[in-house]
Amino acid sequence: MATVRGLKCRECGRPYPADPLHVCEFCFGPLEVDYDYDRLRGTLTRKAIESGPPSIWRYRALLPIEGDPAVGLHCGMTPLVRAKNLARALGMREVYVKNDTVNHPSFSFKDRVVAVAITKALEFDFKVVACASTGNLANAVAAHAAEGGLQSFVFMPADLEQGKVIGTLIYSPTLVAVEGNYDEVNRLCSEVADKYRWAFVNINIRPYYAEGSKTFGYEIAEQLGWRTPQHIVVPAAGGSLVIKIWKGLKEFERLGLLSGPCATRMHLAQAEGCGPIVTAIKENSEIIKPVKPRTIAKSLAIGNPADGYYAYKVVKGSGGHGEHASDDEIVEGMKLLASTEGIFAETAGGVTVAAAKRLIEQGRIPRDESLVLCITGNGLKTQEAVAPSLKVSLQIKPTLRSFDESMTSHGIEVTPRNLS
Amino acid sequence: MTKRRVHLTFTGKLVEEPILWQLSQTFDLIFNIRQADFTEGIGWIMAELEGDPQRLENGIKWLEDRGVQVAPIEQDVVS
Repeated sequence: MATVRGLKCRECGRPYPADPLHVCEFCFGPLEVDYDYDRLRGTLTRKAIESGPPSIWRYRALLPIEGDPAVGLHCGMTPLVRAKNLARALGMREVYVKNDTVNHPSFSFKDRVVAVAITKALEFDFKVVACASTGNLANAVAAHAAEGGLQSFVFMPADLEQGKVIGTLIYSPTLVAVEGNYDEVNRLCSEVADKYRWAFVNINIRPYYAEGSKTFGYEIAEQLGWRTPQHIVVPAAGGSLVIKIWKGLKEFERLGLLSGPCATRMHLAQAEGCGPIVTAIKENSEIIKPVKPRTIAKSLAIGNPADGYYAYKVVKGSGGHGEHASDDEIVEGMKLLASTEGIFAETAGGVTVAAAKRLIEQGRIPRDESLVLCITGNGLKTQEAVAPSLKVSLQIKPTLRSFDESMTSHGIEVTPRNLS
Repeated sequence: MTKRRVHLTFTGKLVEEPILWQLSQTFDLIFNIRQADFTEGIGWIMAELEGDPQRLENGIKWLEDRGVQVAPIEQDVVS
């Protein structure tokens, strides 16, 4: 069912055809996909969605593709975990973890956006896809391009961690290590996107790419039994995810798919070392002041967020708030999530848990209300962030006596098996 | 002649200075503002700059040296 009318400028409302465009030629505002919701009302039902595949493509009527999905067929429908242990630790009654650490194929929420972007790139008949990335996006683009049989170029800062590089190179893209600072890499990629006829997923395909994030919100609502929680805490880099989760929830409300009105408060989580949107929220400033990122949460290290203003509006409009997390709190957040729920999240997950903890302590998230934490990437990708704070529990000789002595000296009490 | 679409962020005292006019005069560049927002202590402009390629490069470097943050209109594209 083709429900896309075209693209529309988010600022001035000018319409554009559904082409690989991303900026309004008149006001330079961002373009976004415009749907014909009237065609969907009454035909897109809960039953129709529930009978779809167990992936993001069960929501394809609300995604900007014309034909069948071409890649990422197993992406999405990640677990929404009722996190009772974490709730107890946070002093909350009802906490859920939306767990995209296990998203397919590259273990982050970026698989959602890239599955849509590359399907769209194939529909546009692009032969080459590309991205500029510091990690998760690179992994997702290289993996999906391999699946779709497309040539891919991934631009990365030359000093990136080995784990991120290996997790991309394994899919055989052309990995371009750019020797320059962040701003220089950023500018170069914008110029490359301008010069070559490639599908640059987060530039000229961005309006389609960003729509994939709506599925994060759709799944939360469906997995909660077609209702929305009272609070959602979302990590922010460029600010797009919180906007699209909100858009997804409001679309479900508009189409009559929810049991009641969507009254969710959207809260934003950023690192102290790179938190320009949260700073703006705290200062009630609609203008986002760019910062130079200095944080271990590299996947959130966007100093000049393109969607910062719109993220600010969503958070303020929903009655939510924002909080920062220090590097130490990020590590503690990662450890808390792992030790209570068995979920190893990347640094962005630590930011989300730590910011939620602050918001709960401030009373902005009341302890008797429902909360969903958005956990967007897998901890195996950022092991270096927590490695210094973790150590082997016991170092012993290979004898039972050494083991017992070590247990005793560390105050570990266990009851031996009764051998009588 | 080359065109470049840029997002410029100004902070502090820069907010009160006629920097685009100075840029235009010094480097013989044409500027065309499409969107802008300013408040006390901070502001931004989205504009198209047009001129000789080398003068355009020099002009952008001059802006950065003055403390203006210069980004593509997409702002951060690395993610």
